[in-house]
Amino acid sequence: MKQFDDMIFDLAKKEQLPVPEHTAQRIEEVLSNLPPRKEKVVRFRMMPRVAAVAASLALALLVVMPNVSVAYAEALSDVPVIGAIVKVVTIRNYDYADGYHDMNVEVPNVDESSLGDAGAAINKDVDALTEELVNRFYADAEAIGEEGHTSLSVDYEVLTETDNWFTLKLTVFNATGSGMVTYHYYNVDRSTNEVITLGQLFSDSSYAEVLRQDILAQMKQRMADDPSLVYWTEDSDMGQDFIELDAEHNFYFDANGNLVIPFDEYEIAPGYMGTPEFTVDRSVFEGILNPEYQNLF
Amino acid sequence: MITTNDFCERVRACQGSMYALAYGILHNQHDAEDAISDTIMRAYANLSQLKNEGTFKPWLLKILHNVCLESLRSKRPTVDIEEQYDLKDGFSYQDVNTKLVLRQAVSKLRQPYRTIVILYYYENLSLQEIATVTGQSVMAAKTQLSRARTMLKNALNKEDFYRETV
Repeated sequence: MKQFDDMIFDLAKKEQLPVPEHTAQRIEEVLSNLPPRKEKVVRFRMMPRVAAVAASLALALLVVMPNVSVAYAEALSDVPVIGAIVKVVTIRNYDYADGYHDMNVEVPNVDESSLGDAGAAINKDVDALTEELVNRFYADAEAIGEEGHTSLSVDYEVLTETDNWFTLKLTVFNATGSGMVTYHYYNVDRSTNEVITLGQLFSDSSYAEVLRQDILAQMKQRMADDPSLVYWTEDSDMGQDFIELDAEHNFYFDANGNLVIPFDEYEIAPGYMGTPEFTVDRSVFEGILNPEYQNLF
Repeated sequence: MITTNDFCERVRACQGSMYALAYGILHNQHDAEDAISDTIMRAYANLSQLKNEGTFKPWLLKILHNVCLESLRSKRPTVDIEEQYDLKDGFSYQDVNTKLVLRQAVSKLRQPYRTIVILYYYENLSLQEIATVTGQSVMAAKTQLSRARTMLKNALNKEDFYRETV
């Protein structure tokens, strides 16, 4: 038996199936698209032990109490120092792990007393989205059982919060189907408490072409500066660009009032380029911005 | 804790094994790529569940094995999974330029023997690791390897290969 085994081992060594170049490229694409891991522990390691314990307790109170008590969350928002960080609280957590299926969903709840109708609209939309994701996760977990692995995580972040403007970003990482990371941005004009879309920012429809031209120029410049980057333009293998900015397209403002346009995977570039973002300088679009948004930042 | 960079390096180190296993089960480069991509995402999302970093490779291949079974199941949902898993058409040389004698014999083995042979002879996994990947006991893996060995010997004898080589 040993003689036979040795022969098979030897043959197998000679007959190793090479990984095709295309497969290796696909693997690299997936690896380059992985979102960063949350390494929360590192922060505490850098603190002295006592400070770390105190910080943990404070954090526990800030995180746990708003979850168990809406009244507590609302009370916290009245404290000036920490008012900003509790404007949005985690109202529900969905945690599940059975060795095959893993879910960690944090459902944000926007303070409706501050954002009025916009807050209510965002909460309704987020609730519907997370409920659908969670239900689909359980259905997939039941159907797949111990034959496979699934994962779902939903996290959120307040990107902008000023007297005039509010932006909430929702990040969904879904490895249940073929999807990966998707983002949802909610922008609110705080003077009217309305959820504002990209199209509503501008006085006419020329904004789509103005922004498209600027983004296209940035794509070409980035590729000229770094030949490893690939965006689809008329010079690429695709023979055209795929920048389509409709009125509902994702956007947010940076701290200087410049417009940031995020794109989904595969929307304007190969998958390994991830989810590209382009910052359009305020001077580019200022002339066509609606008057009420001229002095936002 | 395994960082994102560590994870990427470990996956790269396992890509040959992943492709061999996925192709061995799915017989198709495109499907194998899909299964590998899906596996990497799932492994990354569930990295916190890897208790022993030293078992990364069998843990990754176990996920891939499950993903491949899912893939077969989703492609022909009305056919029994066991029937699907026992693909009768053997190894396809579509993606390989050279004719490989052992691989041809291996490709004709029924499942689960084909997977066992790939993991044992091509990927040098121990019986314990194979048991982890395929989700069965070490004893079951050992029995299947023994049967696979006999089948392989018979197949190679038929080709007059074993007699000439040994």
